[in-house]
Amino acid sequence: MSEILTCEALTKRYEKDKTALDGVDLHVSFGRIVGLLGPNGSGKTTLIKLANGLLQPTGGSIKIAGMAPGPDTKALVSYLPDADWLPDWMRVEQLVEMFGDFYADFDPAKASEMLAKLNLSPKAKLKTLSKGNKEKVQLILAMSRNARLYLLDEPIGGVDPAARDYILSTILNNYQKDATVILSTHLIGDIEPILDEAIFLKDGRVFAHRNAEELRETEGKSVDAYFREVFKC
Amino acid sequence: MLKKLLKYEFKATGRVYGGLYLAILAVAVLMGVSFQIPALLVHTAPIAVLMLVYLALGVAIAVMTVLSIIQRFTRNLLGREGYLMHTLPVSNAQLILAKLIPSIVWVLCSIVVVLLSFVLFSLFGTLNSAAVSEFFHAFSRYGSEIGKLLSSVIKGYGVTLVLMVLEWLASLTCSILCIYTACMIGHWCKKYFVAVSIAAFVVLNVLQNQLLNLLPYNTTNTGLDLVFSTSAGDGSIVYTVTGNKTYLWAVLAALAADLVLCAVYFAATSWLMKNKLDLE
Amino acid sequence: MAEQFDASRPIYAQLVERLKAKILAGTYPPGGHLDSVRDLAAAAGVNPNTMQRALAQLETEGLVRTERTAGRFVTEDTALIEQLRADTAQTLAADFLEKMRGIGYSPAQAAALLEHWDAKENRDE
Repeated sequence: MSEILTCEALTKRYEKDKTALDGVDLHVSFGRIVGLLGPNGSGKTTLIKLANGLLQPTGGSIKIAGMAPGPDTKALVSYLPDADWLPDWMRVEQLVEMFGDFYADFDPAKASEMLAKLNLSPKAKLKTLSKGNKEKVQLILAMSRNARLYLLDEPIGGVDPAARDYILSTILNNYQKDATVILSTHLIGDIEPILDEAIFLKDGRVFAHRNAEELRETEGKSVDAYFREVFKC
Repeated sequence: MLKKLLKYEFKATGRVYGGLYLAILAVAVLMGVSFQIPALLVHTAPIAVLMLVYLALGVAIAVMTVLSIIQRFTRNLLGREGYLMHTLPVSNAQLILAKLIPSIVWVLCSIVVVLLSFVLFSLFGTLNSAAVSEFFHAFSRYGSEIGKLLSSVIKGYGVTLVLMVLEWLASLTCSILCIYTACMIGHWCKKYFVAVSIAAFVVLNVLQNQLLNLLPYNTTNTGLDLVFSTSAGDGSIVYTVTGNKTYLWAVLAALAADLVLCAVYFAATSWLMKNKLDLE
Repeated sequence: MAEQFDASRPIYAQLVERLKAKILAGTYPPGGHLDSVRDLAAAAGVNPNTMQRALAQLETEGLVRTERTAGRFVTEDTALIEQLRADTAQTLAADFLEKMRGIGYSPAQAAALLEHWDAKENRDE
C-alpha cells in the first residue's frame, strides 16, 4: 500500500441542492506535506471530515491506507479540527493523559517538552487559557502523536505571525518520516515553503493537484500567485 | 477501549454528582440531629429551612440525573467535543455504551443515595429515643420469624422478584436508549434540534406502548399469595407463598420485549450516528 | 526561524545556492559534518523533501558526499571548492559588470571604482 489517502469519485451532498464535494479523485502518497487549498466553502473541511469518518459520503469512496474510515484508521490519523473541540473543564495534563490513554502512538514526553517551551502550564484548566494558547495546546496534542496521517484543518487560521512560525516549525519538526501531513488553509504564502504538493479545490472539485516545485518551475510563479490567479474574483 | 471511555465518562460526570450526593446526605444528618434539640421544637424556622434545602437537593438530584443523561450525550457526542470523541479509535457502539452504562449507574446511585438520606435522617432523628431501642428489641425477638418469612417468600417468589428487578433495569435502559435515538433524530434535523428531539421521543414512546399492549401477557396483578397457617405439630406459624404463573409470564414477556426494544434503539442510535452525524 | 524565499522560483534551487555559499564562506568547512535532512529543513523552514533534493544536487556536483551510517559530509576536495569559488566569482563579476554597464559604467570605470572603494575602506580603519 503506497497511498495514505485515496478518494474515488467522492461526493458529498448535505441537502438536495447543497453539493460540498463533487466527484473528487485524489491519490496522496506517504511522506508528503500537502496543502489543501481553496477559498471558504470550496469543500476543504468536508473532505477532512470525510477522511475522519465524521461524515459519510453520498457517493464514491474514501480510504485511509486502504481502509474505509473507522476505529482502525482513527488510530492512524491525527486530526486538528477547525473548532474548539476539547472539554474545557479539563486540565492540560489531564488531556495529555487522556491522549496517551487512547492513542498508542502518543508521546507524552514530546507533549511536555513542547508545553514547557511555550510556557504553557500543565496544571492550567483549558477554560482559563486565551484563545491563542488553547489553539497551541490543541496543536501540541495533535503533533505529539506519531501518526501516519496528520489532518490539520486551518492550523494557522487565527494566530499571530510569531505563533504561525512556531506552528509551522512544530509541524516540520514533529511529523514522522513516511507520515503525510495534509493541511488546509487559504493563507498560502505562509506555508508555501513547506509544501510538497498542492491540491486546489474549487466548488467541490479538484481543480489541480500539483507538485509545488514543478508548479513554480513550469508556471514561473509561486503557488500563492497561482492560487490568486485561479481563484480571482 | 470501552474501559478507558468509561473511566473518563465517570470522571466527567462524577464531579457534579459527588457534590450533590454529599450535600443531601449531610443535610439529612443535620435535619435528624436538629430534631433532637428541644429548643428547635419550639422555634421551628431552622428545621423548616433545612427541610426546604433537603427537598431542593432531592429535586436537584432528580433533575440532574435526567438532564445529564441527555446532556452528556448531546454535548459530548453531538456538540464540539464530538470532534474529539468521534476521532478516538473506538467504535460507535463503544461510544454509546460509554454513555449508557454510567447513566444507568447514576440513576441507581441517585435512588440509593436518596433512600440512604431517609435512613440517615430517621437514624439521627430518633437516636437515643425509646422507639429505637424498642424497635431493635422487637427485631431481635422476632428476628427468626422474620427470617423464616423472608426465606419462604424468596423460595416461592424469588424468581419472579429477580425477574421484576431485571425487567425494571431493562425498561430503564430502554428509556435511556429511547432518549438517545430521539436525540439522534433531532440531530438529523439540526435546525430544530430541540423540537424534533422532543417530538421524536413522544412518538417513539407512543409507538413503544402500542407495541407493548399487543403482548399476550399483560397483567398488573402481582400474584403474590401469602398464607399463614399453624403447624399441626409444634404450633409454630407456617408461611406458604405462591406466585401467580400468569404474572411470571407477563414479567418474562415484558423483559423480552424490553430487550428487543433496547436492541432496536441501540441499532438505530448507532446507525444514525454513523450515517447522519454532522458536527458543526 | 524560517528563511525567506523567492516563491516564484523552485525552492530547491535557492537552497542549492545558499548551501554552496555556506560551503564557500566556511560555515560548512571541508570535511565537515552536515546536520540531518530534517534538521536542515526545519532550520530553513522548508519541506524535508525539498532539502533532500537540494542536497542530492550538491552530491551530483561532488560537493557533498553521503556515508551510509555517519551521514553527510562536505567534500574534502579543496580543489573542487576552489573551482566553485572561482566559478561563483565569475558569475558575480559578470553580473556586477552587467549592472554597471546598465548605468553607463565601462568595465574599466567599474574596476577603478572598486579600487577607489578599497582605498576608502582602508582609510576608514
